[in-house]
Formats: sequence, C-alpha cells, structure tokens
Amino acid sequence: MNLRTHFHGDSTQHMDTRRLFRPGDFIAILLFLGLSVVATAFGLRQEAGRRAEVIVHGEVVMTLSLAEEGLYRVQGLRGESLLEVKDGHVRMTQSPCPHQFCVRQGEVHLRGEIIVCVPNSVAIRIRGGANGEGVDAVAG
Amino acid sequence: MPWRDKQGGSSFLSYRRLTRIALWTAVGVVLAAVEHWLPSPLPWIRLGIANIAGLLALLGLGIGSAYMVSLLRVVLVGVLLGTLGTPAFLLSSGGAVGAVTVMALLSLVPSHIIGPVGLSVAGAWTHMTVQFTLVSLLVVRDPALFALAGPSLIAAVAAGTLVGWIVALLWRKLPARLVYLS
Repeated sequence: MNLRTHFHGDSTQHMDTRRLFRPGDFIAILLFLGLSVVATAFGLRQEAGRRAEVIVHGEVVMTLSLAEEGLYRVQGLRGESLLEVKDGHVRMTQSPCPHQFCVRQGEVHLRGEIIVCVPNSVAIRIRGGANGEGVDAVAG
Repeated sequence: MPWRDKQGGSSFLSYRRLTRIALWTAVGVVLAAVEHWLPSPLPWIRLGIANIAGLLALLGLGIGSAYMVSLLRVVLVGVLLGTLGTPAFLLSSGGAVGAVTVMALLSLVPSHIIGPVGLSVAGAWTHMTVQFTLVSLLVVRDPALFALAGPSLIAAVAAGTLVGWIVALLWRKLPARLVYLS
C-alpha cells in the first residue's frame, strides 16, 4: 500500500483528504458519544447503599457498615490507606499514591459507587440498597 | 510486501524508518511528560496528547511503526516514572495496545472517509474501555465498575476529538519528507 497516496490523498480523486473533519469522523464521534451516554445512563442508580466493601488486590478484606462511623486502616500494595465512614458516606482520607485521585474523589454513598486507587490496589465499593440485600451480615 | 520500504530501504527497520520511529517516540515521551505535569481536574480523565505522536506515526509510517512508537513510549514513561511492573503500567500498556489496534484497523478505511479525528476518537474511547476492563479485572474484580465508566467515556470522546483535530492540523503543516519515509 502506498501510504503517501493513501493518506495525503490523490488530488485528482478527492481533495477532501485535506479536510480536518471528514464524514467518518462525525460518525465515529456520534457513535462513541452515543455508547458513552448509554453507559452513563446505566450507571445512574440513585440508591443509597448500606455497607462498604474494602477490596485489596481483588480480595474483599473488610466490610464496613455505613451506619457506624469510624476510621479504618488498610494495608495496600504501596502502604497504608486510611478511610473514614461518616454520615452514611465513606471516603479515602489518606493514600500513599502519587496523584491522590482516590482522596480527591471525596465521599461515596450510592450503591455501586466505587473509589479505586490503582497504585495502592485498594478499592472501596458500596453495596446493599434500601430494599433487601442489606440483611447480609456486617463483618469486621 | 507492506513490511518493506518502497523508498530504497531493504528491511522493515531501515535507517529512515528507525529515525522517524525514534523521533515520534521522543515526541510522545515529551508530550506524556507535559500531560503528567498538567494538573488533572478530575480522576479518570486524561487528555491523551501523547497519542499525537502515535497517530502521526500511524498515518505516515504505517501500522507496525505505530505499535512501536506507542509501546516504546509506554515502556519509557514507565521507566521514567518507576511504574514498570505495577498495575498502573499494566493499565497504560493495555490501553495503548487496544487503542493502536483499533486505530490501525480504522486506518485501513480510505482517508477521505475517515481522518485523524475519527481514528483518535476511536482510539481514546478504546483506551478508556480497556483500562476500565483491566481495573475491574485486577483491582476490583467486579463488573459493577462499568456503571461508573460513562462520564469518563464521554470525556474520552471529547479529548479524542481535540487530539485528532491537532493531528489533522499538524498533518497539513508538517512537510511530507518528515512524516513519510522518503
């Protein structure tokens, strides 16, 4: 394949290879934007959770009740992460990671919401909605 | 044979190709450094300006070179940040492989139909999707994480459009002897 003709375009055939936006570009933008909007719509579940699972490297190491306030320490890949349960919300207060995304994300309380700290491999996941499911035992 | 240079080189890694791969890899590392240094307003959102170098390599040099430029960049950035072998490195390399694969496939569509913007949007979206998949497999092990991917994916489409537009502008301005092998 001759790349020069392919990408810079054969001027005798189509001048539109010099356009910044071409028909397929708009199709791609709309297609991927549509998929993203659908994904966002699926993610909008506004139900408060009852407990928070603390996950280290894929394993659930702690389950916290959101009704009980408290401070917790978790040993991750890089060091200790500190989390706080308060007013039915949970947040990461301290983390040994470079960007501090998990700390800056703030508090979560809706079912399905997740705080993930990739460098320390620690995640907090909200579980248990208002109807049923919340009966599960809360273990320390 | 697509792996041979028609313009005088004898093998895939001719000096001409080598110098251009080195050029775009270096540009990519610098752009990645700039992006790393820029404050990010929200987690899960990245601009992906380093992909400017990868896209220019794909358009001018072809698919094999685009893989080399993107993967070399990811490894070099991993060495510079000291993240080699950590989950973060796995995420960036997985995202890069996914993005280049999708962009390479789309680059086979004639360029008057789809241009740099379309390739970039598809690449950015794939990058984000692969990263969410890897995070849900490795760190959380729960597909529920995908429920949170939506806003990041919308941001990825916006960022991809911006990056593609920059590449389309550069493509007009850069001299052909710089972006191509001859």
